[in-house]
Formats: sequence, C-alpha cells, structure tokens
Amino acid sequence: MIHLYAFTLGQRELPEIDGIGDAALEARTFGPVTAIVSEGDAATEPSEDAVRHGLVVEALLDCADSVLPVRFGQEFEDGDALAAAVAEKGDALQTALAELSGCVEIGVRVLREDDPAPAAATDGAAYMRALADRETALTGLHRALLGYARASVAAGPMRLRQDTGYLVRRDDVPDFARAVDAYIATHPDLTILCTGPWAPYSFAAAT
Amino acid sequence: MTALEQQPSLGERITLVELVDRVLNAGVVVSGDITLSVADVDLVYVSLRLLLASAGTLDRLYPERVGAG
Repeated sequence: MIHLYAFTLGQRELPEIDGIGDAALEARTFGPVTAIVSEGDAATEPSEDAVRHGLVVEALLDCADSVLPVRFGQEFEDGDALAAAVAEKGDALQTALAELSGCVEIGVRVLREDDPAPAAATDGAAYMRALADRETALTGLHRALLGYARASVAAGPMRLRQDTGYLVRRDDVPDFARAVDAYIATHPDLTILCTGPWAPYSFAAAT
Repeated sequence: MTALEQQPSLGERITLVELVDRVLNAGVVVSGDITLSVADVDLVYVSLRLLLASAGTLDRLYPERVGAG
C-alpha cells in the first residue's frame, strides 16, 4: 500500500524522518505538484502511525515552499491508483498550494471553563451579562489576531469556547505570538492555548 | 510558545494531542481507500491516551521537532 502524507510545491530535499512502519519517504511528481508517500504495510498501532504521519508533515515544512497536508488514513493500492486520485483533483491541488505558500497555521483555543459565568452572577440578568462580557473578550481576541493573519477557520461554538486556526505568513509569526501574549497578560480570566506553527491543515480540508 | 516552555512535560503532551487532532480531522482528502472508520478514530484517541501514559513510547516517537513548536 502507498500511504500519502502531503502535497508540496518547491520540494527540495526529503526530510530525514522515516515514514509509517519506518519505510523510506518518496517524492512522486505530478506536473508541478509533488506527492510525499511511503510504501509498505502499516504494521504498528494506529496511534503511532497517526503521530508519525503528523511528524512527517511537520518535517516537510522545512523542506518545501508550500505544504498541503493530507488527512491521515488515505492509502492507495499502487502508483496508478494514486495517479488517478491526483488527476481527479485537477488544478485544485496546485491552486491550494499556491495560496498556502509561505504560510503556516497557528492554533488558538480558548478553553471552556466548568463554570461559564463568574460566581458573582447571582441572577439571570447578571449571568447574561457575564456571558456577553465573555463573548466580547473572545471577539476582541479574534479581531486582534486577524490583523496578523491572512485567513482564519473556526471550529466549535463561538459563545463559550473558541477554537480557531489562523493562516499566518512565516514572517508574521513573531508579531502574532506577541499579540497572543499581550492578550493573555491582560485577560487572566481566560485560559488561552496557542500552538504552532503547524502545516496549514485547517486550510486544506476544502481542497 | 512561551506558555508551553515553562511546563515542557505538559506542553509536549498538549502538542502531541494537537498534532493528532489535526492529522485525524483536517487536511485534504483525496479519493482513496480510507483506512479508518469513525470507530477507528475513537480507538486512536483511546490508544493515544495510553501512549501518553507511557514515557518510553513518548521518547521514542518524539523527535525534538514537535517539542520545539
């Protein structure tokens, strides 16, 4: 079986990491697009394979101009099956790769707390005010971060919890991180988890 | 990031979960044999929790690349 990790543009060397089952990574070219694959059976635990898949994609960030991550669990019988699947996508892969070029994803999660409203909320109106305050704070964070991002993708309900992926130019990552730090410093009541830079997973799903 | 560096152990665990979350739920889907069903994905999360509990496994799977994220 051929396991597919990512598509890339401007692929230079292959990363030193091995693929699933310690199989060597291979680059297969389809016109301007490169597919990063490895061949062999996935013999280890699914969780180990999933982690390895993710580590390969992250390592590719340093070896190509643009990386379009592929969801874990996509395998092909042989090279012909892979080529047919790639052909079916037409120009979509190249277009997405061009748009993601030079960008990484930063994840920002505002974690849900057990009690969504401050303990001071003694009646319904106070509770609603507390919810509104929380929403205002989250909207403020989002607006501040969008100033350093090219795009964003939100997952989950916005009211109490925010889970957002931001597409950020590599050069803008330090400014983005400073904006998050500044927000954390001024909002000790919110638990904010910022991770990355990642390959732009959240911006690949629609391709 | 800064907040994670202060607690490397917690940070590494969070990073690993975030990584697997992306790998399983995001990324481009091309036609092909999807090897994981929804039930399998749940199993991955369960076994990931076991994996997190095993420091030896974590060391083996954990090149510095992701820890530095």
